[in-house]
Amino acid sequence: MKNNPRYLLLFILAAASVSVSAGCMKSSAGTAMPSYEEEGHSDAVQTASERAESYGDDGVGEFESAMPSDLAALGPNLLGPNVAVLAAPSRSRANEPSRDPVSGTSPTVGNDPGAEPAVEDHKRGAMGRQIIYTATMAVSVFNVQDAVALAETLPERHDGWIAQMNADTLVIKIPSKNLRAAMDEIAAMGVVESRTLLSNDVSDRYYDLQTRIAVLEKTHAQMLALLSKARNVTEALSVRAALDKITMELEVLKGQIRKLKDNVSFSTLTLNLLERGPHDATPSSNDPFPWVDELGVEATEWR
Amino acid sequence: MSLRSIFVSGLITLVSLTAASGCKPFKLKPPAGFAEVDNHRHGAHMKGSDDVGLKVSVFDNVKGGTLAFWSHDLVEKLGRRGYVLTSQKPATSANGVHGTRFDFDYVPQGTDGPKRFYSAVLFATDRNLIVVQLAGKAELQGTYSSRMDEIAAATKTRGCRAGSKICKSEQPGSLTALAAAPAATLADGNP
Repeated sequence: MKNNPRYLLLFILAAASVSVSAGCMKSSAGTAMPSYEEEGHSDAVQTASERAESYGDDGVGEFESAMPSDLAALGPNLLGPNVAVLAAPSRSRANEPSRDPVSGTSPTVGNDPGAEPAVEDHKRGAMGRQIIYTATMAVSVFNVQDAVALAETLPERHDGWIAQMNADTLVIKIPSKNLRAAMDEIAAMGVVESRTLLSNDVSDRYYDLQTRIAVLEKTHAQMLALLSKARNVTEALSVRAALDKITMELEVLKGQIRKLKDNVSFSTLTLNLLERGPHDATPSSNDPFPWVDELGVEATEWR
Repeated sequence: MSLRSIFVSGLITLVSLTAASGCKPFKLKPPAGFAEVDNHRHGAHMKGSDDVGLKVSVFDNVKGGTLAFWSHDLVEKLGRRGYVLTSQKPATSANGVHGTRFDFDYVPQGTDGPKRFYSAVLFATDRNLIVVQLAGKAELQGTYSSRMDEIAAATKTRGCRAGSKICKSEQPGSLTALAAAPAATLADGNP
């Protein structure tokens, strides 16, 4: 059989057809890619809405899980058709653009009211990140007292304030937009021994809070409407209990976002002033002859 | 004790004393009105009753380290730190080594004053750089300006080899222009 050329030819044809079919399978898999991508896209949409659910243990997810349980406690007969009114829109609400609860302006997430959260995430980046800056500086100066007096005037000039102060250390709150200028001004006071700048990106937390607040505010309004429709005292008390819980949570979230906004708007600058004594060399980088660092008034005059 | 042992021990003492004194690259007794606070091989620090400081700093010299080279380095780097060169003139040490005196005005960074004076006389020998410095409040400059010449002239500098070119090197050219255009300040820590 092995030596028969016909069988050999058949074998080759069979092998070729197998490889072609394998190629077809591969190509069909390739053509299936777009639909797979579509699935991926739908996954992405789903993920976005799921993300809306997972905005936090106490966020939309909590609203969707906790609220029905609260309402369920009222009993189906008690709430009647309003249960559907409350529960049904909750998911779609998560997709609505959130409003800034403090300014009342919109969006943190773009101007398109029908935008999907996934798109909102993209636009969020364009809107600007919410970053808390914390800076520390150690500056050695000729006279600490004079330098402290000068540093004390810094917050006034940059619309900030002194958060904490002792003999040679100041903690200053400075508007973030003025932080760079303030640091430059401090650097000019003497020789910068060390300087650090830490940034903490709280965009996710910030926008999550906004979304959760927006959702809770809508729920709050709906609960108020529901309260007005209560047919008896028991119904009213039950709705009231749920309403109180939402109100409390809303206030907590508003407090959190207010604090976050403050921290983003005002950077913390910790300044440590050191006295430059006769034995402190002025640092010079890449200087093969740093001898002059040890000379000067600071090193010579006796104070 | 035999005469020989006395001679040997005396010789050892003499050699060790010579070696000890030879190790120190400079000699300066506290001038009138100054008390010595610190004195070691690499320098001395003295204090006047009006808080004017007198300091001698010693550094190792390197090949090619002429008076002109180090003068340029000194004025340029001090200029970066805000020192303003007001005058420059030749000086001579007690043992005839040529040096240059530089007078600066200085206001400590980040302050409005008071202004300080800073005078430095630079001597370059084959082994060392010796800087005699005087600093204090600007209003005392008149009092101490003439004394600085006396102090420099009373300072003995060592480290010159026989036929040394370094110790006989020429005076630097005028460096006032160099100091008048200070480079980027050191204040930002990035010289």
